[in-house]
Amino acid sequence: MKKVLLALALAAAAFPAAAQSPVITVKESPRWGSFQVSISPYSPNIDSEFAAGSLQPYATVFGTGRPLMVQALFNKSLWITEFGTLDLGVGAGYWEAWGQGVYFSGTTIVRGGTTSIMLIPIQAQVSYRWEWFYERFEIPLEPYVRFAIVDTIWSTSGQNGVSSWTTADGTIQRGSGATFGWSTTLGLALVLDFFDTGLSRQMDYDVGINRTLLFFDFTRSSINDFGAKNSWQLAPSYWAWSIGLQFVF
Amino acid sequence: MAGPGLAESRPMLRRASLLLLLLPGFALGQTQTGTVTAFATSQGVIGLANRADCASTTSTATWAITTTGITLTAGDKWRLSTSSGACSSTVPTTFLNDVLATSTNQSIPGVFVQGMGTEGSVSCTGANDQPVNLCVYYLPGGTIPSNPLVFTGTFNFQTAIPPAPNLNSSSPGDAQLSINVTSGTETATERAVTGLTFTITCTPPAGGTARTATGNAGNIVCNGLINGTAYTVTGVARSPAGNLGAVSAQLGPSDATTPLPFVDFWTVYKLSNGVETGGCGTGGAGTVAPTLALLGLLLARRRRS
Repeated sequence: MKKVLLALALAAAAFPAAAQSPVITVKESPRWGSFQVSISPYSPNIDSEFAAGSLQPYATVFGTGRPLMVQALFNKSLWITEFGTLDLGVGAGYWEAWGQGVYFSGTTIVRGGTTSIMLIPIQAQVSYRWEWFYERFEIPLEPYVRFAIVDTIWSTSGQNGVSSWTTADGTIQRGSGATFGWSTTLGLALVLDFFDTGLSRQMDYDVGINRTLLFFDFTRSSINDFGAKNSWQLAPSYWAWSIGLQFVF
Repeated sequence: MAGPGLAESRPMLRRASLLLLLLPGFALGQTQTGTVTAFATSQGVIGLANRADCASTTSTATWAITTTGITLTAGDKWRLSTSSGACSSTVPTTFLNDVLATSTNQSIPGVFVQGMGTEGSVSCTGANDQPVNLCVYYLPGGTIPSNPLVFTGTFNFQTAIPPAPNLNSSSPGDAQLSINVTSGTETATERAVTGLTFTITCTPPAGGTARTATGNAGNIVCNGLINGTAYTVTGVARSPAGNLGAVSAQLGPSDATTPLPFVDFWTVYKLSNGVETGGCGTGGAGTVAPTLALLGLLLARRRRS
C-alpha cells in the first residue's frame, strides 16, 4: 500500500527527478498494479428516450457540446505473463455540464438562470493489456480491452439547489440518484519507456514506476439500469474516445 | 609574562561580563512602553472613521491605552491628543481630553471623533484618506513633567469616496436578477477603489417595491422580484469605512432585467414526460449492486485467509 501511495504522489514529479539522477542498471522491480488518469469529451444520451421532432430536454438546455470528463482508474494486476497482464480495479470520474434555464413563451424559448447536471461514474473493471509486442519485439504498442460495471451517481440543480419535481399525485421526485450500467473499452497504449530506457529504469528505481503508457481508447457504454423502464440513458450514443496516461508500478 | 598576566585578569573579566549581562535587565526595568488604539463606535473595526463620523458632532470613539513599566499613583492623568505628524515630545497645550489614569491598561470611551479630526487637521471631505497619530501623554500627579512620556498609535480618517460602479450585465432568473458589478474608474475626487461593497437596487415601474442586494464585486442577486416585470437596476459602492459613492448609470428596463419563471433541466425533462424518477438504480441494477458487494467481500476474505 505504501508503494502505491508513493507512486501516486510522485508520478507527476517523476520525470524531472529521474532526469537529474545517475543512471541505474538494477533489475526491474516487481509489478503490483497500475494507475491511470484520462480525459474524455462526454455527452449523455438522455434525449434518446424522446421522439425525434419533439423537445429534446438535454440539447435544449445544455446544447450539443461535450464537456470533458476526468477519470482515474486504479488496478491490481492479478495475472502477469510474457503475453500480457490481467488487471482488476476500480475507478471514478467527474463530469458536469452547465446551461441556462428555459421559459416557454408560446413557441419561443427564453433562457435565463442557471442549471446543471453532474455525473460521478464509479466503476469496477477487469482489463487485459497485451504486452507481447513490446516484450518480444520491442514494438512500443500495447493493445488492451476493458470491461466495467458502472454506477453513475448524478445530480441536477437549478436556481435553488438540487432540482425536484412534484408529480400530479404529489410525489416529489428529486433530481438526483444513481444509475447502473456497463462499458467496454478498446484501446492502444504507446509505451513511452521505449523512447528513453535509461529514464524509464531511473523512474523504476526512484519511485517504483515500471512503465509509463500514453493511451488512446474508445468506450461503448450503456448506463440505464440495464434497461429498466424508469431509467434514463446516461451513456453517450457513440464510442467515446479518451486519452490519458497510465503508470504501471 | 603573557601567561600570568592573562590569568590575573580573568576574575576581573568575569565580573565585567556579569555586569554587562545585568545591565540590560536593569535598563528594562526602567523602560516604559505602550500602545494606543481608538475604535469609532459606528465602525466595526479599530482605527477607522468615515466622512460621516468625521463631520458628526455626536460620533464618539473609545481609546484604549496599554502600557508597561509605569506605576500609577493617585492624581496621575492621561492627556489625549491627535496630530497629523509625529507626536510631539513636548506636552501639547491644546488637546482632546485629560483623563484620570486609573489603570495601565485603560479604556477611555466618549472621545468625540470630530475633535480627533480637528486636532489632526483633517478635512472631512478630503479626496484621500487622512491618517492621524494618536498621542497619549503621561502626566504624573496631573502635572506636566519636564521629560514627558508619550504613547502613540494611528487612526485613519477614511474620507476617500468610491466612484460609481459599473453594472456590466444582467442575467434574469426565476423572480431574481443576477447583476454583474465591478468598481468604477478612480477619479481625482473618487479615490476609493479597493475593499468596496456594492448595493444594487432593483426598482419596478412606478408604484412597485424596490429590492436591494449587497455584495462584493462580481454577481449580486436581487431576489424576491415579480416575474414578467421589467426592472430598472442601479448600484452604489461603499468604501470599507462606509463612505457612499455616486449612483451608477441605470441598467434596463429591458428583457435582460425582466425575471421570468425559468425552469431548470430536471423540470424540462419531467415536463417532457421523461421516465427517470430519481433515486438509486432500479431494475437489473438492483441485483448488480449486491452482487458486486458480495464479490468484494469474498475477495477481501480470500486475501485475509
